[in-house]
Amino acid sequence: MADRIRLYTAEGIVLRRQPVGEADALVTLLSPTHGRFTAVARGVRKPASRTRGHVEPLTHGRYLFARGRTFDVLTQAETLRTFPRLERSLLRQAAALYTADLAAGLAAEQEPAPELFGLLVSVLAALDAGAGLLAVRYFELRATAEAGYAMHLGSCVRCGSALPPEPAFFAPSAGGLLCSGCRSDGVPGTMVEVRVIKLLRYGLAQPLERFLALRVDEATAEQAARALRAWVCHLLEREPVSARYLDEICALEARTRPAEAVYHS
Amino acid sequence: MSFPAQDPVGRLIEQLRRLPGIGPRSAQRIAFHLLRAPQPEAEALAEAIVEVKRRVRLCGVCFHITEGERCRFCLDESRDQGLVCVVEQPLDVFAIERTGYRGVYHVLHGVLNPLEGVGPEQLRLAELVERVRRGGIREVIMATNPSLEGEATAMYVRRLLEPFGVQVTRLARGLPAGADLDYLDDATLTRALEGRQAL
Repeated sequence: MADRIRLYTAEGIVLRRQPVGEADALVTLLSPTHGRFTAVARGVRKPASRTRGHVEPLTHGRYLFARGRTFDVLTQAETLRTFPRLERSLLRQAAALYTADLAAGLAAEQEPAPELFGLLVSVLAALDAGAGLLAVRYFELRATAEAGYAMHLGSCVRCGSALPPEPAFFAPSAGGLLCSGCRSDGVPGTMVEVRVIKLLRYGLAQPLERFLALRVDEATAEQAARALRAWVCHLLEREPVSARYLDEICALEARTRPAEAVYHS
Repeated sequence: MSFPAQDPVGRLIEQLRRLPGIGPRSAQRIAFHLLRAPQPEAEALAEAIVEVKRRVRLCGVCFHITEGERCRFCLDESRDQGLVCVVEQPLDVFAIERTGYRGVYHVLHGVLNPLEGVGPEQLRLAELVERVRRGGIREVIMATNPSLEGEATAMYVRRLLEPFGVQVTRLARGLPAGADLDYLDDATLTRALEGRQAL
């Protein structure tokens, strides 16, 4: 009988924690080496639990697991990094939870995901440092690309012809932009302005720091947000659970703060 | 061994399985315990369940459990009605009561949990805003759990109550009694350091 390694360690970010039983929790993590996976953390809801604080959602830690029949069992935990300032901003916390939700939806189970993990850590760090919703747009763009579904923005996705510098039709079901000749009635999608296309292309090509340095006007940011939401919903075949909450918080913030403060640092 | 759903024992097991924390094995054990129990004991349990569902409702002011229109805390004029402690669940009221707190409560019946799709409209938040809007409240204490969801809810309530000028406070966060510093997570230790007090 093959010898089976019973214990293993994995670095990861806690994406979700769901209570089960009297005092246990199911913890879903994104790990660079193990992708998305769920383990059970026993007794973690008891006040005296030593693991409790290490398995809060959005905690980056190193964990020891014992292989189990249905779920592996989390046996030890060490926090590597937390994002404490997220707890002081309703908007940035909602944005961070949305990115975690999206990562959980896009990551394949038990498939190594070093790029998606690195992207999530950088975006959470940026939000913790005060970045606005542009960081979320970057995550939507790059996380879908890392999952193998990069938006096709360079030319018409159907015929390959170059797109003139004018508004184009973005069709999520086609995978990107359609030229006026290829756009047929009934294809779901939305018209996007040239400056939105440029913003999305820039996000696909540039590192996070440069993308966050952009100053984007409210109309462009809103249109990019709508296109990316449609893209994400098409790929996941549902709306992310946390999307509605993020939208509500955005609406609440928009009533009391200038749009500039919502999108930028 | 499984029991047919139409069988009385099968029906009881099926109903017990719906309770939180009760799996199929536990449901079977409890069902057979009830079968062996004296008739009055089993009937007393059944009557208690029926009575609690018939008589207990939510207070029209704070949404704590009560048998009348208003709970005993809201009716008690010796309590400070201008001090409202906001908790997640009715059970938290009993925990706060053990401290000797003499204000009143507001029970949200949950916390914001974006990852599970629990939004503001599923909590008793609109009722809290209305209660503050009516006046007479000078401080709202956010006593939600010190978890990500609890913090989100506290921040959300603070934003909702901003226009009314009422003071919104949060329970302190720090070291639990008997804790071992070596095992504490960074977030708890950071909060404990931030909230340190002069001896």
